[in-house]
Amino acid sequence: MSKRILHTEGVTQRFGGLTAVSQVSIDLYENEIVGIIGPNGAGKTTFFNVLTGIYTPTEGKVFLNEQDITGKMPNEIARLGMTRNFQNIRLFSNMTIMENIMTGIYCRKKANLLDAVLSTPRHRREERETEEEALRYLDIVGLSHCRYDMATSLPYGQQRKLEIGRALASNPSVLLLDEPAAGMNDQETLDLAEFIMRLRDMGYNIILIEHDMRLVMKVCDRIYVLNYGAQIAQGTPGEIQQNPEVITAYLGEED
Amino acid sequence: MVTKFFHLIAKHQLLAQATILLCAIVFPLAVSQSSYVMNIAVMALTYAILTLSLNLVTGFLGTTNLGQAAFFGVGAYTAAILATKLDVPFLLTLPLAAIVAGLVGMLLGFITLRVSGRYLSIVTLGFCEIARLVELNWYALTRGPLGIMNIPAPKVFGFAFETLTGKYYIVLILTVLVTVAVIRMIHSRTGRAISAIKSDQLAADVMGINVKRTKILVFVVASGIAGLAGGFYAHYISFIDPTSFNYNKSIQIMSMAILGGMGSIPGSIIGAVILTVLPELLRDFVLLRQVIYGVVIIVMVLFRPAGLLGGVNFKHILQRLSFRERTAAEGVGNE
Repeated sequence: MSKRILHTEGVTQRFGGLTAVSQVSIDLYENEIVGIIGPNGAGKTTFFNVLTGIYTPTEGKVFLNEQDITGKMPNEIARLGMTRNFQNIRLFSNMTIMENIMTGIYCRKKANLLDAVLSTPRHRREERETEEEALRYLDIVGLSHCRYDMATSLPYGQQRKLEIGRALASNPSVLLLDEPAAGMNDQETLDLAEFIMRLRDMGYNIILIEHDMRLVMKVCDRIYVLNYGAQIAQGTPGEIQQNPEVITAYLGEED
Repeated sequence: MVTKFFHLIAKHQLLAQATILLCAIVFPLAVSQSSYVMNIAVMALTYAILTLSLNLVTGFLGTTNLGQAAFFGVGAYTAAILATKLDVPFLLTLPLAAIVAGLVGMLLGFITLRVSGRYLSIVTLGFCEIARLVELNWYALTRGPLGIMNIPAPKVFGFAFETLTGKYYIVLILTVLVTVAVIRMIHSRTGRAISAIKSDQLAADVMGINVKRTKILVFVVASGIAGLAGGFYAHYISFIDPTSFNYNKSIQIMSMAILGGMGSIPGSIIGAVILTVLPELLRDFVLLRQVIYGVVIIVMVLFRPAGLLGGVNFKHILQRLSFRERTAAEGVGNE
């Protein structure tokens, strides 16, 4: 069996009387794309917010590379190797495309303010490395031809790619993708599927939240299904498609 | 036309900087060291340092701060007390003024982590007032409303800078040092973290940036720089009292930053120079002074609401221009 990169144990997130996520336990193994699906309001994004430390779960634990990361700050979790994109794109609008990627590289570098002000060798070396690496990530997401344009000048679909590129630039061991295909047309979604599978081949381990079932079924190795915050099914894409509970959750019960 | 002008400046940044520096160096000779003009020039540069420091917090980090005058005051009082009571030399009072102001800035930094928006404006304004009241009432240390007199002129390695021109060169050196430091800070890993926080705190946090630590760092640096300006001011003016560091001063620094353009380094300097020189030029038109001032503000709000250089990033312009030229050249080469 391949190495386990991420797992959760009974993660529960309550907001007052509302249980948004209830007893969710998932595993992500090396070289895997795992999908999390479910109807609107099933708690998928809340679950991502727990994984990345934006929320501290009411109950349960999160482990990254077998290290307990429950309750850590988002920036600590990023440095430990888990980053994400956002369902509603959150690029740095005051920066160029290149600078957005360079900010993704931030957490892997060390030069501090004093290095910068005194322009020490460490600062100069790291700035050079940062630029070189940024160009590589720009190539991966296919945006090097317009790298000095402002991030917000990109069309919607490419902004999504840039945001994924920014997350990739931190070189995470787990990449969380929250509805990357939202707002994309058929061709763009198809390209995105190819892109996500290429990322897996490059060695990234991915958890994907997505509503576009063709995309999910095409790229995911395994799928977890959430409904009203609870985990109702898991399995391969084939198994999930046949699962009666999943069909009920999505289509409603027959009268 | 304005765009073309910015392109030109971006392409010849070094030349522009060198020209301005050269003008600043020969300036005392050009005005035959007139004490009236030199005094204005020294104050313009002091304000330039203050505006740069404020711009770090408001322009680059995007946090309201109506208390920058407090750090100016803390720096001035630190230098004045050290110099008059303990005979500490100028070369030490300056960095100590910056350090003490920086530490006080850290305090304000911690407070600002908890509030935002209009509440933050009130908190920073209150902070400025607290600093002034401490200066006014801690009689044993500050002599309260009497102020501190006879602060010695700047003295470096036994050479006293008694003349206005000498003091002008000192503040010019400080301005250049601060400007270089701020430019390097902005164009660095830390600078990108600061921009990221300004744009989107949550995304910055998720990308591995320690938002709290970075914010406090900016407050410490900005307050330290304001303290440095205060230290120089005390030695320059030789007499300080609490009225020099009230919230009016904060508003004045804020106006300079707004006129020059939020988040623009050359803008900070231009804004400070214009708003120091303009009132002096208008002295001859006493009756019209306020009117002209008002008209300038209305024209600015109508035509350049972001300030003279607000939103103009010369680094980005240069990058785009040279990238376009390079790809165009490659395109021709391929044919």
